[in-house]
Amino acid sequence: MSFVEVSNLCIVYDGMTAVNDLSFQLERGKIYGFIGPNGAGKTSTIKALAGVLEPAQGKISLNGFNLETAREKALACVGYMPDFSPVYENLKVWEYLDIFAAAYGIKAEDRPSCVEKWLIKSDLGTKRDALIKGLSRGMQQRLVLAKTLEVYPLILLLDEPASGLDPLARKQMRDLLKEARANGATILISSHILSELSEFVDSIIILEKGRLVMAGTMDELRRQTGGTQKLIIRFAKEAEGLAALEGLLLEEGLGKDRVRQEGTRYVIYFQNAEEAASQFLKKILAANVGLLECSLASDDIEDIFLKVGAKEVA
Amino acid sequence: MNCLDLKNNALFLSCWYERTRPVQLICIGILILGSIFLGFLSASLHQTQLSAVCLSLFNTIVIVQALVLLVQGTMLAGQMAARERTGETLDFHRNSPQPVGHKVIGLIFGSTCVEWGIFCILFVLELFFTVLPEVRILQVVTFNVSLIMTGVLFHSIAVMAALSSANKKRINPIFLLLLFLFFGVPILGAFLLATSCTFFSHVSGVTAFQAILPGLWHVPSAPHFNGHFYILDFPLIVMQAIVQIPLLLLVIKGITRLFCLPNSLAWSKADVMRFCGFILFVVTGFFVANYMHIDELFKASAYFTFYSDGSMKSFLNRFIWSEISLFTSLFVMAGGLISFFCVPTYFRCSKYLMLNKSFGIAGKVMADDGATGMLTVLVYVGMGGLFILPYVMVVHCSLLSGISYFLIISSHIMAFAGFLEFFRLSRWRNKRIFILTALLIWWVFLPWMMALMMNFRLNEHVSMATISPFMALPYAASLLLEQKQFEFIAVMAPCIVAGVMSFLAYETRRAMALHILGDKKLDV
Repeated sequence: MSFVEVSNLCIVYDGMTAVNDLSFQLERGKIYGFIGPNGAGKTSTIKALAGVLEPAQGKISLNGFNLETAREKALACVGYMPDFSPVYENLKVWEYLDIFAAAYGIKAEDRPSCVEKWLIKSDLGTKRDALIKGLSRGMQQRLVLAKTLEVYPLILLLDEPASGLDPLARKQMRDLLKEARANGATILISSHILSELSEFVDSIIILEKGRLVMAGTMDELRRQTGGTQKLIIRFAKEAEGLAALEGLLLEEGLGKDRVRQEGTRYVIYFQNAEEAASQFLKKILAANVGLLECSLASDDIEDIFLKVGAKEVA
Repeated sequence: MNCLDLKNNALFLSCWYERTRPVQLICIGILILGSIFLGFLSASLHQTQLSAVCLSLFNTIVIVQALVLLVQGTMLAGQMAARERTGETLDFHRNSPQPVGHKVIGLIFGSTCVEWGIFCILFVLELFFTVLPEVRILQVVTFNVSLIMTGVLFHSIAVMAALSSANKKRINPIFLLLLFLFFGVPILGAFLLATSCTFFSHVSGVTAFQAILPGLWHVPSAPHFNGHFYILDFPLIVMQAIVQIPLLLLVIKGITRLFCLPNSLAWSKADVMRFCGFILFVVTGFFVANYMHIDELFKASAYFTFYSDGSMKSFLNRFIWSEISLFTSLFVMAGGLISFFCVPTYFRCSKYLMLNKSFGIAGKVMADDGATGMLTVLVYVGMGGLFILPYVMVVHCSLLSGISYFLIISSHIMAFAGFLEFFRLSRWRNKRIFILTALLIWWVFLPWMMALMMNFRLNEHVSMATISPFMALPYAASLLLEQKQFEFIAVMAPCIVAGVMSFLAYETRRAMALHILGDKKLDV
């Protein structure tokens, strides 16, 4: 049985259906990226999973407990972080962590050590006694992430957790999430920063207009979208290299539409053919045009998302 | 986990940390001590005997204690609960696995922890005054028990109101205080005095002062204020508990529901029915009891004696008129409330229709929050009809007048419920101006136009102007007391309006069902 199970979820707002007949399962100890354009229903789904939004229809099961019939047991293992970080502005940083540790059943005598540990982990040790309203947005975001993680939840629901964080804090967040996964947590993370997601997610769920469009590991998604290989090259002498490239394309019978210029780089796309891409690379190397950079890459999460999005629009 | 284990209660702690900052405590302490000290100084200027000064000081403490708990406490409970909602930290607590009972206790007592602390200190202080011959320990204890019950009820109501408000804006507490001082206090005071209503006296906790006042300040007993209920007789404090505890339980149930069902109104249909049924039951109970003890009331009631010519007959007429007015107002207000809560919102109705389609079970449960509210309102109206019977029996009116009274009032309640259902389920639901305009046309402009057409002879004939509740309700009460003539068209007009509104509600509901379940299923 799956650790998190969502079946036929329907979320209705006033006259508008935000999520329509959505079903998916999440396995234990994996990180799932939850992506989709604005208004796709990601936040609504996460809120419904966290029990803060009532679905019009559908069943949500968390750790084997039905959210509707066994609410307290189902939510016992859930940590939730919304996109806009709600905080008590007039509380001190340590007090905020303390009350949420209490909310998840950590006893009064154990809480101080827990709070101190997470103050350090979230790099807020120096702000221990500061009022929350005096913190920057990024710090508040870190604080909310710390309160979510401090109770070691088995299911983590994170809605845009990286927004407002600086690069260092983002790296720290990724490390904390990987640590949580290693401890057996299932993480559902929604983000618009797709490049960051691909670094650490195990699977992706793509939503569009409230419906599930595609779900699976990166490899599965690549296969489903007709996986494209990208050959990225940068010539030492651009004019000379470009002439050689055009000649090779003509020789191989490939159209110019296969090539896209990204600054000084040239990206050549090969549909479902890793072998063809590497052969083409060998030929470029044999042409002896002088390459500053050359790499072979598969579709990344952004490419897949754009393909799926384009398909949906079409 | 013990629900009184407050040091592990997250919501309690969140309020506790914020409210127990030294600066806040010092300021509140200075204000309270200052009030008591000034009370003492003014007493010592006017009194020469030490016992009189002490008694005056005791009175000041009693008033400060009541003000801090009932006014300041209620405001802060509302403010802290509103902060949870507007700051969206409420979602964290909804999401936390702590038992919902702990969350409710944490919010109610956490937001008012300082006021409860002050209450306890002042209670201990009051106990010292029991050395005075005028102050008995039983009086002080009764006063405090009464105050505790009223305080918990008021704070719970404030929390429920703040959590259930849809408005995301933060309410300015100073604005609320001014509103309460300038409008709330005079209106409430005038209402309590005018109706001399036992029910409101018990709900507002006047019982507490009743325990202290008669022995201490030599104020005569408030009219209607005793422990009589139907044919039973209770001590005052027990009577207060009988009135307040069921209301408190309903309010707490409402708060619990707001934690568990975020998109729902605080009360389910069943809860609203219980609330309205309870209010009608209690008010009728006091009416019956007072009518049975009319001689006792005649002697005690200064208000009615003042406004009547002093004879028992005019006193009785005045009493019955007042009670019928009160029952009518409550019946209509509770009808409005039941319509508001029982008429489904668009979300509830969609959920109900979808579940109905998927499982076919919801349709069988008319008490479901998404089912039509018209049937529930009809049940309420029927229930109200039963409670009217003692009033009809007392006034000895004709059957025709009794039925007309009931028809007019129930038609207006049904019409309002129908209008609300039409409004909430139709495409007009997001245009608030529409409901205001339609209500003004229905309740004011049309009857006004009719009055103009009738040459302003409204005191002679009411006629179709009864389509407005402002015209219909006084007419219905007058009809019951046989002060006005029966007019067929005046009775039928509200019934026709109720019919039209019910039809509109039915049609809107049908159109919505087709939209949700039909071909045009989802308008994403």
